[in-house]
Amino acid sequence: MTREEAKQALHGHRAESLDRNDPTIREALALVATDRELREWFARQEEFHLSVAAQLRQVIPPAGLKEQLLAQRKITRQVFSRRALGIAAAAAGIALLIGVITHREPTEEQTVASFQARMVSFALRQYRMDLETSEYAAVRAHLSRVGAPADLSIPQPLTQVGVKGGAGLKWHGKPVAMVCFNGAGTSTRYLFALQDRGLAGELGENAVVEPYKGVSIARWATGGTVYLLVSTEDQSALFRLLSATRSTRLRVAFADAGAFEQPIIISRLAS
Amino acid sequence: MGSDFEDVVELHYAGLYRFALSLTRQESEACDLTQQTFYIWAQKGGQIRDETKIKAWLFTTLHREFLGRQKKVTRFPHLDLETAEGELPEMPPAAEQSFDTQAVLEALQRIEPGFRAAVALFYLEECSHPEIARILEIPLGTVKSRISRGVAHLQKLLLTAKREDRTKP
Repeated sequence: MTREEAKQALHGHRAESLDRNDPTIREALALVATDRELREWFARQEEFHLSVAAQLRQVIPPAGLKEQLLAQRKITRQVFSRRALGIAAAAAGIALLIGVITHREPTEEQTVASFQARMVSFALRQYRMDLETSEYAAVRAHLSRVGAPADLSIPQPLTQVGVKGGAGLKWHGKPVAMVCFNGAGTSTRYLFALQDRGLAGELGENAVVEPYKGVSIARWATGGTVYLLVSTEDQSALFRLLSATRSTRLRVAFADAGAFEQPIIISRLAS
Repeated sequence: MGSDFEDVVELHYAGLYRFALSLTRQESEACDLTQQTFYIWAQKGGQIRDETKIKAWLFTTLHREFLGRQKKVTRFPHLDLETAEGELPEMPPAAEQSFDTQAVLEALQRIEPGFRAAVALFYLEECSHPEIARILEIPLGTVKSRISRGVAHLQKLLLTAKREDRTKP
């Protein structure tokens, strides 16, 4: 074995993990023992590996990641019917896949679409509430305490279904409020709110209701705040909820939209 | 479940996050991949009876998720990784081999995507070649080739950057 052949054999190995039962490695190490230049080269390689490994170990996971991961376990322990859980898991898988295909770029842009994709992902995972309570005032106080938008303009029909709790989230470092409302049966409707005048400008005050990644969403903006409501109920049910106080004309508009195929616009939600 | 969820998170979340970051380049994507991995673990982890296999299972799952997303998002140009020619760079003395974390991360992210996962596991988790082969689900010979060429590329990038830094006024 030549010096160069020994280098090729040893390159890409750390000294501690060398397979000394490998005849090629054994032969290369024998040469290291007798060849000073090769020995120095091998020592430099080892220094390089140690230096790189040490630097990479200094990467610290973001604060809060572990808590989010632990929260996922609690979510899976929540009481849901087997059928609902199965549907949610399937929807989550499909939605994540579709989300990646259609919305995920290597660099996530700060757009309404990417905000929507991320928040729907939170909803599909049934993100844990910081606070579980039926008192909206308590949720509001909590949101204010954690720096999330707290002065929310909640659509009037939603205020009637009852609140379950809420949490403060982050999206690109910006605080996001999550308020959970009662849905059909044991399900939850998730309302996300983000103060961002730029994104709010992309939306209007008219709510758009449409199916998205296996769930139904409604999005609108009021006073520089983007709102996104996510529900596992179908589009028609979400429309009926939000337009509970709206005119017959809108119901006709819904029928004309060709159920579930086109976005439905609800002009100015009453709050 | 073979091991308590909290213990598994505690033991592996940092390593998984670092691995994800080395693959994706993005903190948000890395967090998402880590979360998705533990989400799948919460659903399917009970199938793992042998606790010594948990780590490999988690890293394999994360890597599969990453590949699944990449296939849909990015069309990599075809590159025959196993036949790409590799040349070992000249190594400077140890004293000249101090790199900062950011430089190492940037260099790691510039090496060929096909090499990156193997090299990241080699350094981050100090996995043996057979362990990396199991995690990435590729033959041992392929792992050896990818690590050898990936490390050579990494060395070239870091040493070049170091030389350029030194020549700056």
